[in-house]
Order: sequence, then C-alpha cells, then structure tokens
Amino acid sequence: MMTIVFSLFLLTMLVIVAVAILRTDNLFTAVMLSGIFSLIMAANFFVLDAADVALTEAVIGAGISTVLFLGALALTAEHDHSPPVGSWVPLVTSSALGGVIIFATLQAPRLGDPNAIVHKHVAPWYLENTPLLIDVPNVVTAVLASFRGYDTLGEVFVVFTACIGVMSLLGRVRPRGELIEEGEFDKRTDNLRHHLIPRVVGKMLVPFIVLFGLYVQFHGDFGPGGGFQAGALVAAGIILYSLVEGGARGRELVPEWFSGMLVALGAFTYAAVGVACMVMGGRFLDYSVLSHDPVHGQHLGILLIEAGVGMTVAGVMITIFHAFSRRGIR
Amino acid sequence: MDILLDIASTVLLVTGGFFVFVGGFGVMRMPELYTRMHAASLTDTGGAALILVGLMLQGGFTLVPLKLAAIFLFLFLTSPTASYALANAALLSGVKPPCRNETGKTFPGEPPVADGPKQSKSSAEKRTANKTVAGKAARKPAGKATRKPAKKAARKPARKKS
Repeated sequence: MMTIVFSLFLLTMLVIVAVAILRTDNLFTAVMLSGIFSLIMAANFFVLDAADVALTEAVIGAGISTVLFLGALALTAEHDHSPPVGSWVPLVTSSALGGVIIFATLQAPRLGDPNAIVHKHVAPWYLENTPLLIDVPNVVTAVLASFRGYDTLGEVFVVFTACIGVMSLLGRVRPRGELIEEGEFDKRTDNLRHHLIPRVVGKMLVPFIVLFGLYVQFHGDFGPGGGFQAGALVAAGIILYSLVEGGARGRELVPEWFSGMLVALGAFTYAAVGVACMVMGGRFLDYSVLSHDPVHGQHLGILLIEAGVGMTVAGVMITIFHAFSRRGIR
Repeated sequence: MDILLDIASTVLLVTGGFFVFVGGFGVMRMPELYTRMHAASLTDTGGAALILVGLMLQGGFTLVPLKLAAIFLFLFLTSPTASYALANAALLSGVKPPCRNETGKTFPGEPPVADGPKQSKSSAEKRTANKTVAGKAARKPAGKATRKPAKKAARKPARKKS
C-alpha cells in the first residue's frame, strides 16, 4: 500500500516536471528540471526494487548529464527559440504515438504480477542457478556479467563508439605534453574558483566520492553496483574537481590522453578476457575455465570484466567532459 | 531501555517532520528568494539532521547507524554549500534582497549605505568578495595566467556597484 502511494506521488511529480520542461523557454531551467526528472526517476526505480538501475540513473542522469548539458549550454545561447505555434502536425504525431503506447500498456501485465511473462521465462532459471554456477549474492551482477556477458560486451562497445562519435564532433584528444589552456566552459565556470566555500567543500568531497566509486566497483558482486555505476561515480568525482578548480586543473589531474586511453583499455580488457577464455579451452566469455574451479573462475572473470566496464565508462565521461570544457580553444 | 530509545527516536522524527513541514510552508509563503532559501535551508539542515538521528536510534547496534551518520555528514557539508552557491549566484545575477528605508517601507534594491548602523550585511559581503577576487588575481603566477582579471571584473556587473 505504502509503495503504491509513494509510486503515485513520484509519477505525478514526474509528469509535472516533464510538463515544466516543455513549457520553459529558458534552457538553463530546462537542464535543471531534467536533472530533477532523473532524480525522481531514480527514486522510482528504487521503489520498484531496481537498486542497480536507480544508482546508475542518479549518477548519470541527475549528475553527469546535467553537467554535460551545462557544458553544451556554455557554448550556445541560453534561450530557446519558440517553435512555430499552431502547426497541427506535431499534435497529431504525438497523440498518435501516445495512443499506440497507451494501447500497448493495456496488454502489459500488472505491476508485480507473478504470472507475467518475464517471471515465467528465464528469470526463475537465473535465480535457481546463480548460487550453483556463479555463487554471487547479487543476481543482477551474475546475469549482467556472466549469463548475459555478450550483451554487456555490446553495451561497452556502444559506449565506446558513442565516445568516438562525440569526440569526432567536438574535437580531437590532445596528445601528451601539449599546452593546457582554458575553453569557453572553463571561463564560464571560472567564477567558482574564487568562491572559497564550494571550492574547499568540493575538494574535500572528491576523495570520498572516488572511494565510494571504488566500493561500488568491487562490491558489485554482493550489493547493488558494478562497473557502470562505479565508472560514473569516479568520473563524477573528477568532474567535480574540474568544476571547482577550473577545467585546466582538471585536465592536469586526468590528462586527456589518459582518459582516452582508459576508454580503449577498458573495452580491450573486456574483450581480452573473452579471448583468454577461448585460449584456455573454453568458449568466448565462458569464465569457468579461467581458474582451477569453475565458480572461482566465474568470480575472477566477473571481477575483470567489471573492471573493464568501469574503466571505459569513467574514461568516456571524463573525455566528453574535457572535450566540452576546453571547447573554444583555437 | 528499548522503550526509551523508541520514545526518543519518535520525538526526534516528529520534530524533524515538523521542521520539514515548516520549511516547505516557508518556501510557499515567503515573499522573495532569499527568505525562501532561508526556509528551504531549514529543511536541509534541521529537518534532515533530526530525522537522520531519529532513524539512527531505530537502527540499533548494526551498520545502519554508521551509514546514516555518513549521510548526515555528507548532507551537513553539501547543503549549506549549495545554499551558499545558490544565494551567491542569485546575487551575482542581480536579484536584490529587499531592504527597508527610513519610512519602514520594504523595497527591492541596493541597501542604503549612507547611515552607518543600518548598513546591511550584503554590501559588506560584496566588498570582501571583490577584495578576494583582486587578491587572487594578483597572486597568480605570471606564466600560467591566461585569464585576464580585468575581463573577469567586467563579467560581474552586480559586484561592481558597491
């Protein structure tokens, strides 16, 4: 009962925030509201017992993407040009799409229905066999890293490709030893450097955020967390440092060649574990052969690929942030 | 012993809830930004602190109170900082705190500087802020200084007025 009341409250807030995002023509307000939207969504995921997803949404949606949006805003105008009013095409398109989605939800199983298809399909098998085959308490990690390792490999390469796409739009990664200068976003956020309170508090929090990121990374087998969340958390710590100390100092701390290398190294680690499994006589990403004991091999494989995921995600976030923050240097 | 803990935690939780309620009420009812922020900060610090301590008493001798204490510490560091940053950003972007003139009428605008005792805090703050900016710029090593202090002052119109 309490859950339903809480969900209703959160979903109502979501609708209100979404309408507010649509109605504002100040892009800065829209960015802040979309951060709030993500935070409410994270709370919603948590109510639905999806702690791993909630953690990701809170870090990436509410934290990093807000900063990246602000970075984009620093390069463009702050006000939206009002779209032409009175055209009926958008109205018809969105009502038709909305109608289709509402029609589709009529067929969906009710919330928490034990007879829903997802609960009848492979989920029981996973729940039953995870303790036997992999023996980690967090089934989500077992599914993500081992049973569905191919999918996660694909996801990592999607993130990797996205990073390459953004970098090819925003500019190249600076090689080692090149002069570190300030971009447009740095100049906009430069004011922060002269405010002692955010600077001191921000710098004080950075080590703890990174430490928490590492905890989430290595505790992913036992509780909510894993490479995606951990990478985003570590990147958030470094982005916070760049915000309070200025982008140039941030690029001194984590040089661009290093974050770029991290992106490639993470994806490489993941794929290399797969190849190592083949070399040791198993199939691609079948970790059981990595050690003398299949379960132990699974643990080792999950640890390694989670490290790869974490490296890639952290590297991508930092690289994109740096690309935004030094944009405008000629 | 248990009943005492329960009573203490209930009292703390109810008081914290009251603080949150008053904070929310204040945000709705207060006339302008700075007073609203004052109300909101009540929720952030007083409300959150009391509720967290109340929950810690419920936790017993487990890891839970320790985790709550970590959240408590985190909130105590971040929410005043956020309030400071918000007020500062508002001041820089030209939102004036309302002031009272000789006739006792409130109006938004520059605080009166002429009479000594009435000198409001914000103008004094502005001056110290200006000083820090100048000091920082002067202390910067010449080689790395790609920023230009003169340009920076021009970007902060609200500060120059004092």
